[in-house]
Amino acid sequence: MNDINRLKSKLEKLGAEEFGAKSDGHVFKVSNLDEVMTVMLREIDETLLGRELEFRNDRGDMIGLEVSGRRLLCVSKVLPERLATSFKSLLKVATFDAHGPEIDDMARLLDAFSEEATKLKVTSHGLSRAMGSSEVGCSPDSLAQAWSLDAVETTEENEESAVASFLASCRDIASAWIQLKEGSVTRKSGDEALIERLVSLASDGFSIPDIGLKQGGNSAEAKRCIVLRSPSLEQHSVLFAENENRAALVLFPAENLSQVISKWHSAVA
Amino acid sequence: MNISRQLDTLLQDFPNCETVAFADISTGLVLCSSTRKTMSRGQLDALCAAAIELLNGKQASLASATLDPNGNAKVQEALLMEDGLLNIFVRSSVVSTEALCCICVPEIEIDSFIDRACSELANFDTD
Repeated sequence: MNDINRLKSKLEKLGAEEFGAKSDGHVFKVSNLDEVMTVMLREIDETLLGRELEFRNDRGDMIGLEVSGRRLLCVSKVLPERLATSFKSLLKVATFDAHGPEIDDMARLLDAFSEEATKLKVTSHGLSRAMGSSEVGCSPDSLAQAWSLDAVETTEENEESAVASFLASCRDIASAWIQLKEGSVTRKSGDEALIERLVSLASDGFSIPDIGLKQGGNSAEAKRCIVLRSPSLEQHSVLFAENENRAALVLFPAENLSQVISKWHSAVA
Repeated sequence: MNISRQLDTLLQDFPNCETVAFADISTGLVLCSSTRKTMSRGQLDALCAAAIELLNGKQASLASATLDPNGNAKVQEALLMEDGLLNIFVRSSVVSTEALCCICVPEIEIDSFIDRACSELANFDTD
């Protein structure tokens, strides 16, 4: 989210609080559990005053979180009843640290909540109760660590980046991938040993060479990818994709080539 | 069947392939080509140069060195997707300095096309 959008979002939230107006909320595109978790953690991280954040997916499921001082206090409500019953032990239980059983339960709740969800709407309301002085809560960083989220991606990535949407769609067909922004690794997923190789490849300067097939030269906006294959590369193919200042390195089983190309084609279409 | 005829047949069998060129990537020479559209000599040379860069260049060396524990794997196939076109480069398994350089649309049946390109390359050296 750029500074102008961030400021606009803050002003909307402040306005809603001051004048009692109801925010229409923000809608995020999501395609998997990691993206749902990422949106939630970012919203928690941006909430200073005591608020109840409501996350509603496009299937109609809802999770309410009480948040204050950029920390998660508790899960306040869950809909529908089926989910609420399954995770009854989680409701209104204060979160103190990232190692409590409620954090694992919450990950399972989010897993169920994320299933087949493609959109996530976030709304915010003032807390209807007074906070206790002993309510410490749990920070987004600790939650990210407990949930093995490697990095919290910006919503801008989710909404606009062809590279990010390509990686999200490769979740089940890639063995490992890393996402790069201006040369730094921002996200990673998959087998740790393979990730290390990809990081090493990136630090060695692996990229798309300027091979001059495009008339008029290569622009920064170009959406390009290369795939290199060899029978000896442990049955894996390596892909490098780039668009503007974002890039991805992906290792995938050789037999998934046509699927990977199809995913990239869809992402840039 | 001579190489030119074989390239024509390959193009005919894969309607989503627009151009196929047989090249010597040690010298950078396109030896023979078949195409549905007009391609200048310069465009064919650029296609061959791309094959050299992707199959033998720095990126190929980096990929081999990082991903192959023995460090001696050669990149056999390379793909470049840009501007709605898919360029496919396939090195001969018989003569490592020979390659097919192809311009296709992304909807092509990649696996069967690459298999066919590999077998055509092998045939060039046995016919």
